[in-house]
Formats: sequence, C-alpha cells, structure tokens
Amino acid sequence: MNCQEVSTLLVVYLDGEVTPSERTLLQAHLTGCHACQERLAELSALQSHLSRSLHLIAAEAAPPPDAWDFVQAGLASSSGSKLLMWLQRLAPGVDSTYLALQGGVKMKRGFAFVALGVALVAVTLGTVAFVPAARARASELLSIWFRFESPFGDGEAGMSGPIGFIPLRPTYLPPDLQMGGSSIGGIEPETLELTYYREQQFVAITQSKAPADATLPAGRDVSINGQPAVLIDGLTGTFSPFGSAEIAYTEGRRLIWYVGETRIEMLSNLSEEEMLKIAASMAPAPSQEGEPPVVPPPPPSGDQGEGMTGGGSLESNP
Amino acid sequence: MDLIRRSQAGDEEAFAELFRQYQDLVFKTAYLMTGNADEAKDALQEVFLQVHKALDSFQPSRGAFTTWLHRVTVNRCLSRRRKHHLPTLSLSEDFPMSASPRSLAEGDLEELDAVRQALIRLSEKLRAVVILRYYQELPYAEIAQILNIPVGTVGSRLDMALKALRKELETPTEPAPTRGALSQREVAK
Repeated sequence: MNCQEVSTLLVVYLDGEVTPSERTLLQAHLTGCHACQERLAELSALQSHLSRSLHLIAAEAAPPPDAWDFVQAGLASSSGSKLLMWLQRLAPGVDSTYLALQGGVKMKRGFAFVALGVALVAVTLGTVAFVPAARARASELLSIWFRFESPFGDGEAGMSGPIGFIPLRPTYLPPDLQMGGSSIGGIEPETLELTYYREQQFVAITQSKAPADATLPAGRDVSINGQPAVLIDGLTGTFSPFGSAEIAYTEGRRLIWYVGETRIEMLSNLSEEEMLKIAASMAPAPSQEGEPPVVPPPPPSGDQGEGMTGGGSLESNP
Repeated sequence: MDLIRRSQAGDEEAFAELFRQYQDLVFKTAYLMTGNADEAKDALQEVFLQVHKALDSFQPSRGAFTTWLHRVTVNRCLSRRRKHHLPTLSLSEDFPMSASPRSLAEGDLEELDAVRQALIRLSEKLRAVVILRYYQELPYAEIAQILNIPVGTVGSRLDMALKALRKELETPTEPAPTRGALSQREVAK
C-alpha cells in the first residue's frame, strides 16, 4: 500500500471500520512511514476536536418546552386542511376565519355578525352561509380551533384553523396591560391580529404566513430568542382599539420577525424592553378538536376601554 | 418497542411518550444540519408528523427505530432547505452562545466558532455524515442505511469532509456569508 492509498483509508482506520486485510496492510505501512504516522495523529486530533465541538454546540440546543403543542397543532391541522380546500373550491373567496367568544373578549368591528346581533358566535363569512350543502361542511371545519388565553388567565377567545400557519400568543404581558382590554380578529384571510390595550398604552400583534422570500425590512437589528428581528423606532400615529378611544402616539415602535413559517409584526408604544419581552414570550396557541364553545357575545357595555369585562362565566371546552 | 407497537395501534399517549423520548435526538440533529433553531423546531414537528403518518409501515425486522428516525430527520432537513428557499444563515449567528459563554474560555469559544463556520461551509451531504458519525457516533453500516448509500461511500465522504474541515480550520477565513447586515443582540431577560 502506498501513501496515497493509505491517506484515503486513515479516517476509516481511525473509526475502526477497515476490513482485517486493510488493517494488516495499513499497519505494515504505518510502521515504516513517519509522514503517514503524522497524518494519522493529526486526523485523530481533528476527529476528537470535531466530536467535542459538535457535542458542545448541540448541548446549547434543546427543543422548546411547547414542542409537543406544535406537533399536536400539526396533527390537528393536517386533518382539517382537506376540508378547507374543499370549502374554498365550493365558495371561492370565503374567509374561513371566524371567532368564538368567551368571557369578556371583544370583537373587532369589522365582523358583520356582531353588527347583526347573531347569537351564533361561530360563523363563516362570505357565501358559505347561503350554500346549503356547504353549511353542513362548515360545521366540520369547526372541528379544529385555536385557543387564545390572556396571560393572566381571564377570558379566552378562539379561532378556527387551519389558516396556513401556526398562530402564536404572548405568554407575557406587562402588568399594566394585563388589566386592560384585548381583541382578536383578522382583516384579511390568513391574517391574525391580537391587540392588548389600557388607557394610552397598546400593543398590536399581527401574524400571517411567511412569504417565500422571508426577508426583514430595513431597521435596527435585534434578536428574539436568538433569531434575527428588526425594530423600527420613532413612529407617530394613532391606534384605534375596538370599542375604545383612539390612542395617539409619537414614540411608537414596530418589531418584525419570523417564527418558523409565521411572520409576526408588533406595533406598540411600550418600551423597547417590554416589546422584546412580549415577543420572546410568544408561544403556539393550543389547538383543540371539536366545535368551539358557542356563547352569545357580551352585551354592549358603557365601559369598553379598560378591564376584561366579566360577562358570563367561562364554559368548559368540548 | 412496546411504545411503538402501542402507537401503531392508535394509542396517542404512547405516541406522545415516543415524542418525549426521541425529540432531543431529532431536534439536535436537525439543529446541527440546518444551523437554525427555528428550522430545527419546524423539522421536529414535520418529522413526527411524518412518523405518525407512516408508523404503520415501520417494521422492526428491517432496522432500528432510531435508524428510521435519523433517516426521516436528515431527509426532512435536506428537503426543507430546497422547498422553502429560506436564506442560509450563518451558524455563528444562529447557534446561541449565551447558554455557556461563561463556562468556556475565550480561546475555546473562538475554536467553537471556527468549527461552526467550517461546518456550514461543507455541502449538506458531507455535513450529514460528519454529524451522524462524530455527533451521533453511529457505525458506518447504520449511516449507510440512513443515507441510503454504500458503506464504502460513508468512508470516502468522511475522508473528504475531514480534509475539507482541516483545511478550513488551518486557514484563517472570512466569516461565512450572512443575510444582509445582521448583528445579534441578546434579548434582555
């Protein structure tokens, strides 16, 4: 065996994977070749270094605590996606996002069934309601829904799936906002907006499916749970929480980042530190099978700006 | 094996336990393959969705469950990158350093970063054999089964990989290309 042939087998030899005859030939060559002995020693050191480094790198990584929630959401949405596609073929343009209410969670004004005072809170928009065959199918679509609990446990809302991405919700809110109002809605199909507000403070979190080229806009680079994000400072404008007075702001911030295939955009006039903390706390909304609980919307209240209204007791989930 | 049998029979609790037992294996392999924690989390979900879907077809007589799991994981990592065309981010930005900076000397951290840079420069095929051999510490026969290649090819790929890595680690290089002008700042907690 010459040095060239030995060189290609040194790694395999160190890994103990050479054949007995190869081992005999290799050892015979190595006994008399200092250059190959040196190469062997270098390779052995490199292997050890590589192995140690890979273990150190991997030791820093661990699945998130809610990884099983992700899998469950995937198992649930994979069984619903076929129904959604059927429904969209039957009634093109239908918005498959609808809401169920519990407790004091407010609805966005844009949803027509609130204005109509319909008692059934879970409803699909568009032409589906007028297609008799689709009405029965719509109830099947209700078989998977996502729960959005406020971080302090009072009140919850639901949203049907699948919507093309895994919806997230904050598990942390600043203490002031915890006593404020919140709403959930979707302006367009496959967009989810969670808003939390109290007096002059607000945070609006918009989620949508990430585009194919998942890029970030220009802005100041920050990090959320080790992932790149962009923060845009110095925004001026007004924010209109549903059913509450308009909030004017001059030091607003917009934070944009991706979590898997979900694009998240947060607009707020909170401090940067609080925004980053809320962002880092975002976790998948738990999903459940079965139809979401059906309760009447809360009666109109004179005080719509603060506090989670205490209308009705929480029903148990199906 | 009992967990697998029960999962195949539709016992969802058994499948949940299967997930708990093997999530680390899948996540860490995906993390090293993709260099991205979010992609690793997505891969973890997709791998177990696929396992759930195909579990009935798993036959112990054809190989170990972990071998099958490794195969699904590696294939999923390779197909995700092609399918979604996500920008390739530098390992040095994606692997969180905050977990253990205080326990490593500065020189060690630099060496670790150099290994990360070198690993990301390898082709995915070479990276896969390196991770399966030097992290998962699997024998050549099992690596061959996972990657569906001859045993001899495992050795030749490892030889190529180590030569490339040695060259990278011996030569001072520019950091691997990053997306835009990103810089990292740890979130204050």
